[in-house]
Amino acid sequence: MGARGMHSTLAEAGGRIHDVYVIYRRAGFARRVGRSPTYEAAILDNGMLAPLYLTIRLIKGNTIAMPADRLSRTFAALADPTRRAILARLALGEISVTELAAPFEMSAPAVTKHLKVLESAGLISRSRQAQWRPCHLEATPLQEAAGFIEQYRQFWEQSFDRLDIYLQQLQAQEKKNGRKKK
Amino acid sequence: MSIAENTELSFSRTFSAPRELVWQAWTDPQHIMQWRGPKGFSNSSCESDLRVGGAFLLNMCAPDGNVYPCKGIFREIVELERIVYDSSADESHPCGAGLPPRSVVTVTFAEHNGKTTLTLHTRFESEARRDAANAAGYSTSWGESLEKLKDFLTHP
Repeated sequence: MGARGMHSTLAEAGGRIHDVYVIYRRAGFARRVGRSPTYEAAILDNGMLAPLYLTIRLIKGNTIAMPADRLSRTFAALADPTRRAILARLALGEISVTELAAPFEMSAPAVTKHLKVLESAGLISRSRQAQWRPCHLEATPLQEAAGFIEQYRQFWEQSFDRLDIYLQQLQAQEKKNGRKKK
Repeated sequence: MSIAENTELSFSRTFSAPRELVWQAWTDPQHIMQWRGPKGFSNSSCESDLRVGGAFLLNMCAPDGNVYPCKGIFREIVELERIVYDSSADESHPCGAGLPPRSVVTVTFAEHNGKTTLTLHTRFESEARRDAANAAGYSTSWGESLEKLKDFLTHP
């Protein structure tokens, strides 16, 4: 998809793309790119969530089934700011534990502890091939978590839309009945 | 919409209706069935035992014919102000029915000038567990008590 196509698709999605972007920016997964303050900024870091993927999912409102425990593990793993920062760093490419530990002013064992949580949640994997065992980001659970949040949001947004209409109907009915009684 | 620490989600909406009516629409099974669920969904049955520890069950039918049960237990009820409920632990479908597994949902109703702002706040499991741990020694929720009892019975 070219930049123009991307732009129009994002525009079609209205504020929803922005909502998701805000979630990811706060979580340290998205960064501001380009000059536009809003829609183009939804482009996420390399390899994590392709804008194309995100756009398609948002527009089609895809439903996904995800085992409950895996989702809980993903959320638990994401609840820690250090782990979110680790994921943001890994989005830029594979890296060794020593390199990963450097900017965090943390010992390698402390970082390893966080990596184990991320690994058990399936958010990262560590190569057993090379001696330095580089860490890779695994995008699928994050995509599933994003899909889950979006699906849940749509559930309530659409329920609220329906409730709004229903409340208007109830009030109109009450008014009508009130008039009849008089 | 807002999200904090990745484990909490909040949605708000202001309705042009008095709080009593919004509360009724939210709590009366006959009303709930008229609006709950995404566009294109309908509800085949609804039971709601509105008291602390009471259960609710809503069977939602998707446009493709699949039925998604929404099951939960009321944890706190403050008439016209607040409802807290959580999902049953055995619920395996993550959110098809609008209630994620092992999550705590707080619905608040606030009235201003004849309009009602409804806020639906969802806290996911990991956060709920952490808070429960922090609160240990001060208060214990029913959910935690039951959880402990279950652990005790399964691992004596």
